[in-house]
Amino acid sequence: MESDEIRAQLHDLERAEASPYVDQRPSPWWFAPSFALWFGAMASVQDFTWPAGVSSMWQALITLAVIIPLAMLLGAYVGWHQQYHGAYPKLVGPKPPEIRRVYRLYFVMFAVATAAIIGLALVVPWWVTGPVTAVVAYICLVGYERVYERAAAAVRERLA
Amino acid sequence: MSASSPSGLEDLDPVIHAPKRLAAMAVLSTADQASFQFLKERLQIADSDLSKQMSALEAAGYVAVQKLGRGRGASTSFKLTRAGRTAYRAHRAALRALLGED
Repeated sequence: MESDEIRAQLHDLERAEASPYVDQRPSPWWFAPSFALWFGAMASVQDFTWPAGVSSMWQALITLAVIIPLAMLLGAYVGWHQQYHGAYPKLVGPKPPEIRRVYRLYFVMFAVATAAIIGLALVVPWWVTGPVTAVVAYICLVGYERVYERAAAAVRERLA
Repeated sequence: MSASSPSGLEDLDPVIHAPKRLAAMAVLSTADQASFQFLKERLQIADSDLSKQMSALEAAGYVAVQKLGRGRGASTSFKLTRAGRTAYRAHRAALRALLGED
């Protein structure tokens, strides 16, 4: 095999390996608002102040009755997402450096936002925590989607 | 280049050396799973051709097939098996070795 042929093959492999990360269809319009509501609902449940007289057993049962459907919604979304995008990129393992940077940003953003919401929840009631979480989640998700698409476009261009 | 094969070509896996199968393996190497449709669009080949290529990989034990549903709404997806992942890594490394990049 000629060196040029091998180089071309390795380049094609790199492009194909990047494909699950950079050839995704754009998220539907409802993605950010619905996930923002989901995060807001989760935060409200966690921060909910129970009125006096509700036993801890009832508190646990009611909390589960809200959290289980939310978890099921998330599971349904993951299943739908796999069908919609056709390929589910691996979270761990080698990936294009541009995408690795965006993943890093996502985890940092998630950690900072979670810490900020927990701090907020300590000083404001649940009916403030929920909506604030939803707004913060919406801003983060829309921003993340834009940054991700820019990174994906850079990878597509580099490996074109 | 490996010590066991002076030319290095012997280290290339004949099952996945075919360009379409190699491209399918490359896509699957970074995905938890990929659908038939996704692979078809990425590889830009016909349904029958993709079926043939994926059957060869399945027969070699390199990919696992998952079918969901029946009829028009049915979907088929693929994922690399452990043997497939090992074979792909080895093949990729052999290609790099041929360039003297290992």
